Amino acid sequence: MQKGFVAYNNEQKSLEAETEGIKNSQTLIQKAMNWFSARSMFVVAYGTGCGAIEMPPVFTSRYDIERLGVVGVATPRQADIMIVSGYCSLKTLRRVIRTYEQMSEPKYVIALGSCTINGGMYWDSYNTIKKLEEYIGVDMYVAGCMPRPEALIEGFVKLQESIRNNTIQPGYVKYREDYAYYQANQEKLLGKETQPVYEEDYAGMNLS
Amino acid sequence: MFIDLLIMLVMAYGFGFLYYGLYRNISARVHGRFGPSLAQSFYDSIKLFTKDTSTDFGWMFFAGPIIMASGAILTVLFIPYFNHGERLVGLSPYGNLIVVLYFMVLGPLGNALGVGSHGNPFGAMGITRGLTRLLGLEMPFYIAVVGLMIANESADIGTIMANQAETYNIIAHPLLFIAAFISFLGFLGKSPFDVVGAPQEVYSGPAVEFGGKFLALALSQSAIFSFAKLLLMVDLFLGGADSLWDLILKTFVLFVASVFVGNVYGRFTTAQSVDFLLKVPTVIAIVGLLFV
Amino acid sequence: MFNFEITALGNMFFGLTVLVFVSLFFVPNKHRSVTLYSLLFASLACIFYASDLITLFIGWEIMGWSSYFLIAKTADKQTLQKYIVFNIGGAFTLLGAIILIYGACGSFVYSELDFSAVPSGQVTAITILLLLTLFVKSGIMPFHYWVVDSYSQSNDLFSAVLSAIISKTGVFAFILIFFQIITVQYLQTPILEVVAWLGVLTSIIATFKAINEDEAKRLLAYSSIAQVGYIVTILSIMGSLSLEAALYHTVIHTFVKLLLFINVAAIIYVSKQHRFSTLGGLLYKYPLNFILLVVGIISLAGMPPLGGFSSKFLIYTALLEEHKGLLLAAVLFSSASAFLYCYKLVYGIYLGQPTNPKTEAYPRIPLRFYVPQILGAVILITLGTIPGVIVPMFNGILGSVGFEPVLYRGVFVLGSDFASFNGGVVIGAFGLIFVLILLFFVRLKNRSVKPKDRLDISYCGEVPRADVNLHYGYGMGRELSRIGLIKMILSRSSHALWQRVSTLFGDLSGITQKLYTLSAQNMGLVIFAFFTILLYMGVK
Repeated sequence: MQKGFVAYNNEQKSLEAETEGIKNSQTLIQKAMNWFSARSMFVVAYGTGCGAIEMPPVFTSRYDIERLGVVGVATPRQADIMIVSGYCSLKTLRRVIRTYEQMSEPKYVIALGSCTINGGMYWDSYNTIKKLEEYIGVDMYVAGCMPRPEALIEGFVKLQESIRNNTIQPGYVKYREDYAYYQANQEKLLGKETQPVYEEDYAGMNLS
Repeated sequence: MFIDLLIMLVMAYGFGFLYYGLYRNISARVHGRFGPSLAQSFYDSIKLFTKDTSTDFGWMFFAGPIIMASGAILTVLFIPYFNHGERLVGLSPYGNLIVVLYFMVLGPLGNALGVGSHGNPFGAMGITRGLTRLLGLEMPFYIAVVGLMIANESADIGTIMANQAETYNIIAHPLLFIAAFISFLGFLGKSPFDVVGAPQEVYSGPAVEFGGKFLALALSQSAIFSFAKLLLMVDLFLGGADSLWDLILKTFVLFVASVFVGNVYGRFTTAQSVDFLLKVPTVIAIVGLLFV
Repeated sequence: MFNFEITALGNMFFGLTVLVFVSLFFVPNKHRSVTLYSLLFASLACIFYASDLITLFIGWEIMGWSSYFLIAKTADKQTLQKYIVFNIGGAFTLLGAIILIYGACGSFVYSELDFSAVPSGQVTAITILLLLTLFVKSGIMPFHYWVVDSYSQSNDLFSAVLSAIISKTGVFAFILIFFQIITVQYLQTPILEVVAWLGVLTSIIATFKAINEDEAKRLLAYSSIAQVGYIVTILSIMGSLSLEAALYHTVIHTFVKLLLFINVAAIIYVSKQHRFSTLGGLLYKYPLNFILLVVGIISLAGMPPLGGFSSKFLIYTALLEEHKGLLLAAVLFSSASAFLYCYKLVYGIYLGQPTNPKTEAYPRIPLRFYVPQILGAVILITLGTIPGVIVPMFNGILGSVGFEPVLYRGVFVLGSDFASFNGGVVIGAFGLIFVLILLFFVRLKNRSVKPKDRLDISYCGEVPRADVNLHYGYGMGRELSRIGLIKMILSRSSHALWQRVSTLFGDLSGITQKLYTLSAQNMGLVIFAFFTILLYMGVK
């Protein structure tokens, strides 16, 4: 067995032990709630880039993600999950942020395609953002250019697992806690004038 | 009495969600999919009730879904479940068919007030579509019901059920049944008449700003309400139910028929649906009324 | 000369008048005229308590004239012309009917009138003349031509009087004359059938016109026409239950229209706007006014927990009992369409987004505006909870008119042997369920997030700019005009009919004028005609 692999394995084990601890500290009601919110996901599918074309097969007969309890909805108010499918130009980013702000918590974001991770093939574009996680909280990346629908489904399954087992710190919690950081990034690109009207005053909120 | 009411409510809730799950499953099979689990709508409702936040636009917005749910629950409680009139008759001795028909529009009006109060134009558009469509929907249904009331010389649902001991109204008054069934499809929000909440056109229509617990209440009431409508159709045209199995069988048959029709048709625009409803089923109903 | 008699029927209508006038006395109004209002009040008393036809006619005329001067304070010339032409016409037909009645029965006093020996042709003529009078006052189509303009252009206070009381004088006279004087056995049923259908067609057409209206008071005027249409329809059934239903609906409609007109008047008073396209978003600014309006529209639409349902219920059962299926279907059609204009009224004023940037600066509504509204709301809620409470009054009226009362004497229960419902249980169950859900909702471990701004709506990811019109108030009901049948109704108007009538009268007066012009030819013609008639009469 290679040395690196053993180290990796140990690290993995310690991580799992940590999450095991979180899992056990939950009450039964919290576990049930997690289970339900993993079992039922309302998705607002934001078709920003070319990834949008990969989403219809996921929702329709070919791949039928409704099996997993994932349903598409039209408005962010009803949604639990937003899929940002591909690159975000500055114009799109503003809408993405606003949509994200309007979702009710707990809310999760799946970023689809390489462009949302590091810019992908738009790595040197003047008009698209490179890392989506600098602007909103992202919970799951599905890499690829483009990722196949199977990959997106796997992303959903992974996200459901982590919600059910409560193994990740959700992006919206990070967003709330480090709101100044995100806001600074947003303002750097979009400017103060174009800020959307935020629903909530995160600065004054109790973050327990 | 109160236990009966509670049982009625729980049954309506349970069956409503079960039937909604079935609807999703059957539709999935029609589309060539597998579909979600039967309890999926129940999961959705629990999840929505336990969401951490939901946007609240003020007291009228808060009250809107509550009025809507009260209207739906009230409708269920005023419809007797069984035709022997002993158990699960609810509050039906205190009301009658006309009262029930008006309860059916009480909820939507309360909802309309709540939806109007948040100032989202898409919501108001959806509500206007709904109220316009209601105008077409109510016409054939009301004429059919009027025909039954005249034929039975009574506005009491129990009496109408009791008079069907020999022949069901579906056989005695087939034209009235056809007319009522077409508008029943619309009342359930099934396909040719589902323009109200069209997500592609008006951004979910009335539900546009509903998130979290508000959406949960809206979904729950719609499940209860659908069951109430099924129950009303069974009571009026299929002679009511003798036993639990009878109830399940009759509501299920009616429900599956509506699902199949709903899955085959495309969507009418508002004007088209009112036009259709005022031409075809209304004329059928009037002809049926003349035969009464 | 004047003969009066205290009757149960008169008491009810006069009671309504007193309540309306007293509550309106509190409302601030810059066109206050004590003389004219007292004259109007006296004339109404004269009508309701008259015991002979001449007294009734005098009251009718004074009412017409005092209303004319009250409308004339604000209305334009054309409206006034319409008002005066129609009302004088109505008064003339009343006079004609009275003369015919005197010719037939030899008396003016109600109790001495006996139609048993009168030939049926004469009764028909009297009936038609009387019906024309009543149609004009109640605004039954096509005689509604004056109603909408007069209602909407008279000052806000007087609109309420017109709709709540003066439109009811037609109903009063209908009940008085056709239930008490010319009783049903002398009336021909085809006439009643026509009246019933006229009433319901009026209500359908007026309902759609109301939906299409952009001005709040015009909407209410059309709605008033529609509601009085129901009353006329139900009265023309001529049964005990139908009379009780009509009386119930009269009471409900009086208070609904009092409430709604004053509510709208309050908004016009503070905002100086009277169109839905320039109002909107006033819900959180005037919450009490909003709640009162909701009470009003729920009653107007006939929704269960409030009083409007009781009267609608009686109307339906009366029609069902008589097996008038098609008539009932038409009433239901109009009644179902009424939801749309009810919603338009509340949405256009209170809901949606404000269209006027000065909305924030509107002043408070003076408390005096709430007196008639709260009176109306209290009565409507009471009649929803304990619908049987005024049944003894109706039963008394039926007894005095000579009909057998059919409604139960219960307090919570309203209805007859055909069908009944328990208003207490209905409102109690609704309230209980509402409170339970509310408690459950408040107890949920769920944080409500308040939006920071009125523009914080989900608008496809967009932030709408402040100057974008987000109010859907006047777009509402526009879809209706794409529906064939309704488009047909909306595109018609009685204007063309009355234009033709006016041209006809113009031509007729032209002919008369020709007779008087002194050309030799014309004089010859007149003399010839005169002698021909003399000759004819002599031969006879």
